[in-house]
Amino acid sequence: MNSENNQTLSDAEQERLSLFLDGALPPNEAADVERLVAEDPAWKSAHRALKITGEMLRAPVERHAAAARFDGLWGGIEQRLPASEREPSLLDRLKAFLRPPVMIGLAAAAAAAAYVATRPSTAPTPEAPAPGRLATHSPESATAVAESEPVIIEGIESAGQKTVLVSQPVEPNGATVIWTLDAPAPESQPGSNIPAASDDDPI
Amino acid sequence: MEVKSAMTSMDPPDAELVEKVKQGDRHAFRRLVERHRDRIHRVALGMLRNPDDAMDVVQEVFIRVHGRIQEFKGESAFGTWLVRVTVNYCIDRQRRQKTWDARFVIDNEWEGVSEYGPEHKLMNAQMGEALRRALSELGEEHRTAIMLREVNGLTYEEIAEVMGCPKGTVMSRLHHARKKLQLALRPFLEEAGERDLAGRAGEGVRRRE
Amino acid sequence: MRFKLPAFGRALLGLAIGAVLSLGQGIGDAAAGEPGLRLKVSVIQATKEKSAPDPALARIQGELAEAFAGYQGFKRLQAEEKLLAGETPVKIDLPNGESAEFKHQGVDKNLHKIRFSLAKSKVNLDLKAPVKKMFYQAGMKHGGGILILAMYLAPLGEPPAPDKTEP
Repeated sequence: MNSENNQTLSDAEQERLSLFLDGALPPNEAADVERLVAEDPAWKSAHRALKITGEMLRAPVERHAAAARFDGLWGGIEQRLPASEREPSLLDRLKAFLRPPVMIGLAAAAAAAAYVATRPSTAPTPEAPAPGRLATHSPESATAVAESEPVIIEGIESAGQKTVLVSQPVEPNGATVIWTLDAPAPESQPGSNIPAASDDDPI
Repeated sequence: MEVKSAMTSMDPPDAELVEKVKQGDRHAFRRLVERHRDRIHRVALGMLRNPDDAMDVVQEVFIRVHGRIQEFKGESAFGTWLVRVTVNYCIDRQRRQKTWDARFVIDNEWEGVSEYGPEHKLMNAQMGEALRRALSELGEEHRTAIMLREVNGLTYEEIAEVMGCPKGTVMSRLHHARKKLQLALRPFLEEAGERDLAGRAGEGVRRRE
Repeated sequence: MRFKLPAFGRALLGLAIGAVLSLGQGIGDAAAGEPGLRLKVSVIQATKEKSAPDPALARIQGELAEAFAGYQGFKRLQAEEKLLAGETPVKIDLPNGESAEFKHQGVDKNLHKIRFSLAKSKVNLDLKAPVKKMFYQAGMKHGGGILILAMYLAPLGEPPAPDKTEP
């Protein structure tokens, strides 16, 4: 069955192709469409277009999904669970533990510790960094950390005629490239026959 | 029997964990979260096209699910019910926001596209814009159907269950959505040479698998 | 009525005051000691025609070839090294008449916040970059090809290691 129009498929043919793509055709019909896709330019073109559309929709989702980290997810959920279901928090356990006799004992221990800490010391102590100096990592480890971190683009403003694209590789050690390209004149833009989206659109 | 019990305790099915959650078992709920979070995240990414919003949605969905766990009667798979809650939450969120703050529509980082230089990157961006417009003009039912099918790989039956409509309606919505999206992208595919782009796109995605 | 602290209370108060003073001095030292940053920029012309490799780009030739796979010839037109300190912007005039400006806007953990601008193109970018990692701006047309700015942040006071990738 060939398309009436050599360039595009009919509506029924497109629907058939859609079912074929989803594996929803019976085997004999699927075989028929497979042959058409292999032999008929219009079917081949339409099939490729559908595949590309799907891949375009999927690819960024796959990339963001692969990079997702759920480190704080359970903690965030647990905080909002009903209290009766939560495991007792550290504070709850502490409240149960701290009763007057225990408090008195703890206060005495704290006082003893403070006395020991503030009395003048005559024993030699190891050389400590001067007050106010921050501890620093060794240069090698700091460099190793830094070099593996990616460049992060936080904001882009383009008030002129340039289109700005950022190319960032999946691997952290790959090169980040900020492209500034001349945007073509509106009348020469492919797809300009698509009506512009209205600001009143809900999405 | 003993082996089956051992296997059950190691990796209990969703239904068993749900029953435990209904009785207040927090650990069972955590197992469910860890088991399904990736899937819910992908659904949210596909619906909202915004990584930050998608992560928020994952947490909100699980909170909602926990609050409504007694409503789940096991008539459908728990995972499908989760997807339904996610889709409905995303739709509500989009309606409230009134704009589609899509941070990404297509991937500018297809491997192999860079080989064509900046002109093709620009075309990629224009294709993305055309696709964004076409998606926004689809309407939420058609857009939801195409995302669940293309991005999340749900079957017609699963999509029907999630969207609460007959299977035939799902098929019709998919066909309509694909027709519209193909129309929007046709000028770019014709210009670029479909063979090159199809080959590159396929290579790019295959290499990621 | 005068309030007199018991000895234990005085000790604790002394500890607390000492801790606050030390912390304050630490913060002050950190701010006063912020050394600034070296910004190295190589302005490279890339063309689709193959040309002899530029020895000045030997250390990044491989990365250029990979990141700009559609281009075969790379030639360094100018090399700049500027000090980025405080929020004083630095400007680099480019051979195509454009002007690139960089402004340091602080540090976020290991990353330096930079505002990168192209004046005539009216493009501004806010980015966060680590030290010793090359990143690029590309696309402005020049001389039959395009310009690539290879940018690299290095801390002051460290000599560049010869085996590191640096323009």
